[in-house]
Amino acid sequence: MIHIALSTVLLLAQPPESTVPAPSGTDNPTLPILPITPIATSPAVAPETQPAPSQDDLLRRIEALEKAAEERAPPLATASTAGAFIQNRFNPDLSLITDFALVGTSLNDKSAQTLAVPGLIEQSDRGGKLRGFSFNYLELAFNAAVDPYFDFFSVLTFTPSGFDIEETYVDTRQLPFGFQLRIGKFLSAFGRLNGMHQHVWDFYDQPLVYEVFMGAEGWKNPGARVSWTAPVDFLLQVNFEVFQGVNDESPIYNATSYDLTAENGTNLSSKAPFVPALYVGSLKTSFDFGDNVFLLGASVMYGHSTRTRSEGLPTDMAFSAPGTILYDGELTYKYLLSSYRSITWQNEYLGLLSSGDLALASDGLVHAADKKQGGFYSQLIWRFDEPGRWRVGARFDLLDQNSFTVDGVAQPLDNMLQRYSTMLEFSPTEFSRFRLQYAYDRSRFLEGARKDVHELLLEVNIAVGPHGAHSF
Amino acid sequence: MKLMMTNLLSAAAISFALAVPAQAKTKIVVTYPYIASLVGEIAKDRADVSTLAKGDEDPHFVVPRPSFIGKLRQADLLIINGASLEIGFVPPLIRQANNPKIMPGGEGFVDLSQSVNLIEKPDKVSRSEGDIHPEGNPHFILDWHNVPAVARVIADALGRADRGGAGAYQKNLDAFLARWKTQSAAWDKKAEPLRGKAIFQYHRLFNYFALRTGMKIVGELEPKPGIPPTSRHLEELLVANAASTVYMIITDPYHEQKSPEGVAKKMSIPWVVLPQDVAAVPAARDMFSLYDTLLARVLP
Repeated sequence: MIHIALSTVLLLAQPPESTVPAPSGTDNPTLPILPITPIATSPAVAPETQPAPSQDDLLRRIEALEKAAEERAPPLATASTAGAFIQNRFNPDLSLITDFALVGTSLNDKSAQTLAVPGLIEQSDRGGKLRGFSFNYLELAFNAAVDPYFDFFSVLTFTPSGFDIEETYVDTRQLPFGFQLRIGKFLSAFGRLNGMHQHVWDFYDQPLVYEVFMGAEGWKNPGARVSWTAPVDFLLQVNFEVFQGVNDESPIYNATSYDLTAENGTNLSSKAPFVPALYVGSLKTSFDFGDNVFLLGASVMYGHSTRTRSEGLPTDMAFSAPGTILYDGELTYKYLLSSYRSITWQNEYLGLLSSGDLALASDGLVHAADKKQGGFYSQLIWRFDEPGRWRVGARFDLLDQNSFTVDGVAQPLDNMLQRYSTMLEFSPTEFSRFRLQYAYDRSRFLEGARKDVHELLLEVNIAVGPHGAHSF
Repeated sequence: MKLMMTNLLSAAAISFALAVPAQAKTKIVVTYPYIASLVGEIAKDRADVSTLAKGDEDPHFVVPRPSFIGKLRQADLLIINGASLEIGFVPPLIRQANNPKIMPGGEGFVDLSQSVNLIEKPDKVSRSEGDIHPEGNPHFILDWHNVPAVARVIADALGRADRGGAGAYQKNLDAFLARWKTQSAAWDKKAEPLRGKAIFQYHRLFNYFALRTGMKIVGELEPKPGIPPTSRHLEELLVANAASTVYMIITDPYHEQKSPEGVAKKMSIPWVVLPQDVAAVPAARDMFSLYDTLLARVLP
């Protein structure tokens, strides 16, 4: 019995599977190369240089080893064949991320339904910002290598409004010369934030410019991407993406036709745009000077914008602009104070240039319309405590350009729309996070009049599964 | 859009032009300074080494600077410690580097933990136990007897990446191992007075060092790995060890020093900052001075 137990233990103490030759053991004649392990916790070979143990000691050790062997060794029969076809070690990495909030707002839920950002959003999506408890999402993220040639990623999201395949794509692993190809449905690399999932955002919500131009959850669509990383000692990366460009959730880009019946009975309609209709180019670079890290980027999105309001009312209209351009400039500066503490200043400007046809149901005519809109956000985040669990941050949002002309006549639209947000965050570990956020929003309008909104949110974000990577 | 494409093409052309002279020296990216030090011993001036982490950074929480992506893009070899120590910062960098050589499974990806027998491999893993590593304790380099196995793996990888230099790498490795053997014997002897001494440590960091020197770790200031010390836990440590003699408290250079200082004061025992890596403290300049410093700081 003792003999069997000991040999099992010795078997268990073999080095792990290795792609390299095992150490030969010639380096030290007196001590084993493999680390010595205390008997009580894990089986291993006893060191030879320790003082000669007493008989009692030896007996105790044998007992401990037997006990350890009984606890650890699987029954031989099941170990040999029962696992023959078990493949669960090939299962993809699976993470679950969920997000809840407690919301207090100066806006009653009824008014929330008709809140607008003039010239940009007719009805704000207030999901996650209605009073009381809010379940925001449950996200399932999978990833695995498909084979030596591809990696697979997929993110499925369940929200109160339904189920969404947020992303599902493959990346190549083997393309030469620094190229990588991505195919599937995915978030565009446009700007600093579009490619980031909600749980890594620094605030509860997207910056205003993202909400009005990219949509509350960012631009995601079926398509393909080629990315190229330059062989230089800093980061220089170029992405080129082609998307289908048809997206009902986008506030700007949607490559569809319109069909409208005017008050006077005229039919106003457009041809279906050529698809794929959306192209994105982005360039990112990053370099360090000691503990100062800079990240700069420029992105351009080019595609077909269609927006329609079709309710059978005289206010019905359709706007169709084939060559709509959205551009973005980003600058992030991070100062690393220590292993855990840092200050990050992040800025981004987004601008829209859109010229096209405006079909109005009221007069049955198609007018030439021109949109020039833009804005930015600037935020400062300070990770301030030693183990890096606390962060505090502030963000300023501004839409400073809001021009819309019809047949050369400027429409009266408010600009200088602002929002001020602050947050305090506590993360007990990388897997759980509590965030308190206060926002004073001066960008919303209710029935044509400015409606200032105060929001106080307490958010809880929980992640289980494999270790996520720290975001930069 | 046309401009974009032209930029892309001209940038690609530049890269091809740059790629030719870059072949001359083997480009190696390593995660921690100790690996760079070992590569230096074996490759001498045949390799161009970039190190991602700094010695005085928490090895678990290295900031993934985007500039690392550019370095990984050009690397012939990526040598990591492994055992999930780099799990928080290396995978996203590799994904963006677009370099098939250094992808896990690629010919230039080297995981040093594979060549060592890891201790404290948990039977069950649950994050309720804090930041535990399913593969076992990843800080194996703190036992000097683990160094030869690691050095061999590095020499082997260098030889594969640069066949022309294989002879030189073998020669340098042999010379290094010979020196190491002498040094190890000296360290073994030097460590003898430490056998049986009970110590506290901040994090489960110096376990291999303690095993090698025969010191007994009787407590950690962290209640669980990666969870900062709480006053309640420290109080419990004091109470539990009130009757026994604790020799000293050892900690690393990157954690806060208030907790070890406070406990040391209450127990009237010394506390020391030990290097967990080359360059973690100025005295630990290379692999040899790393263990010299470790021993010098804990010896009575």
